[in-house]
Amino acid sequence: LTDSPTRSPTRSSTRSSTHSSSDSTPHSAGRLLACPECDLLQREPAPAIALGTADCLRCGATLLRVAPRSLELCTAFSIAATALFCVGNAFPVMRLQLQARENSATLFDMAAALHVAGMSSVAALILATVVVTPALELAALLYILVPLALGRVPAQLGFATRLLQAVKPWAMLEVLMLGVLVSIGRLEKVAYLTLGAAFWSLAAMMLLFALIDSIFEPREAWQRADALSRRRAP
Amino acid sequence: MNVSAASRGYLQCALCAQVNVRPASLPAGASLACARCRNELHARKPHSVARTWALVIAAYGLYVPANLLPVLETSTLGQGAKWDTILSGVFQLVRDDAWPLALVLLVASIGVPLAKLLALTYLLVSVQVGSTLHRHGRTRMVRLLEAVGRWSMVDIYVGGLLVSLVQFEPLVSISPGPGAIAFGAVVVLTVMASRSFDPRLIWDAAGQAGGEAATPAEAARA
Repeated sequence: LTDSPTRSPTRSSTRSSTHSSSDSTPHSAGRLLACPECDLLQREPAPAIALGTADCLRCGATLLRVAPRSLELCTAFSIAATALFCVGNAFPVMRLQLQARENSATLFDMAAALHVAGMSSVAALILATVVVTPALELAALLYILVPLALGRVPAQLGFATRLLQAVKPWAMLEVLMLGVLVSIGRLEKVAYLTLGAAFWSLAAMMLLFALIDSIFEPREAWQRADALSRRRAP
Repeated sequence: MNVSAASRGYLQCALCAQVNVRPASLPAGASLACARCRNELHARKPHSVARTWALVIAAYGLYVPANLLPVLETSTLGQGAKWDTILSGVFQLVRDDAWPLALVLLVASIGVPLAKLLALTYLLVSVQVGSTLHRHGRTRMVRLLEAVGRWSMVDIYVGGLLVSLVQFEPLVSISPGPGAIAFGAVVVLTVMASRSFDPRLIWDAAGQAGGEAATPAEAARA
């Protein structure tokens, strides 16, 4: 639909030196940025930043985030988080003992108990926010990052980044962990409480998700994909 | 000096950050896809104000039953059943000397949803009257809303854990109440509302042409 300036070759990795090459047209789209929060039109910082963030001149929103080897780090974090996620789903988060009887709660048990009590919508909300959306987020991340790490461009990169952006606000592991802490405070006086394997693995997964959130930039994945397809088709 | 990208016919992809040029020949209202990732481009989130209002009003409506209806029922041997609303749960924690927990639940379950709804109402009204006051503060407010809203879910998770763990009939058992459904709906609606609000509308009030108002002619002149 659109042609010419949007595909300008000067638009490469922010770390590369081609970035500062001459591009004299006053409004060449390649080096302009629009603030996602206030839409102020501005130029990318002239010496490409190697580490850190560039903020909007007007409203202070983060325009660019650059961390060295962030795609590689995110690949490793995503693979580790997947393993932790499997443990987090298979084992109980907590166990409660009262007079020789013991109840345990996995993530699915939480939803099942609410479903049995006639609260299927709340059960679905819990499953959606702590099982389904984190799983989709991990799947999208792995689908994007693993092929890129192997030097290939994922066929459905557009769909995967869209999916990632759509599910991200609904993955609420850190809120779940706060809920677990509050429950510990409420239950430890009532009965004998022990933490299960899922508690520790979900806590670790939450930290990995926070790390991924702080360094993963879809635009970097797209820049890497652009560079790979240019190399393949000269 | 302060030029919005939309007024010059530039559309930055929300997904891959590619800056696209809106062709001058494209009729107003026609949709455009990102040249790189094929994501649909919008100068502003579509129908942001109307959509956010709808979600906010629905959430106000459900906030009442969420706080008035019981969220948990505790049955104890010899004492019968006791219904708890969100607020009475907080008071119970205060009586048990669990101050930090009471504070967490008070802020996350009662304070955050209400503060969020009031803030969104203020943002919507200020955008609709074209206010140019406190634009930096309002932009920061949008950022804060997106970060804070999700924490209201904590009560839902606590409910789920208590209901699945405390099942020791006939000694003691906990079951959920209808308030939980309304409360869950409030959280979902407010998260959706803060996502549908477009902070760029705050800056469009500056007087320059912005958003959908940018005509192809203006884009061509730029």
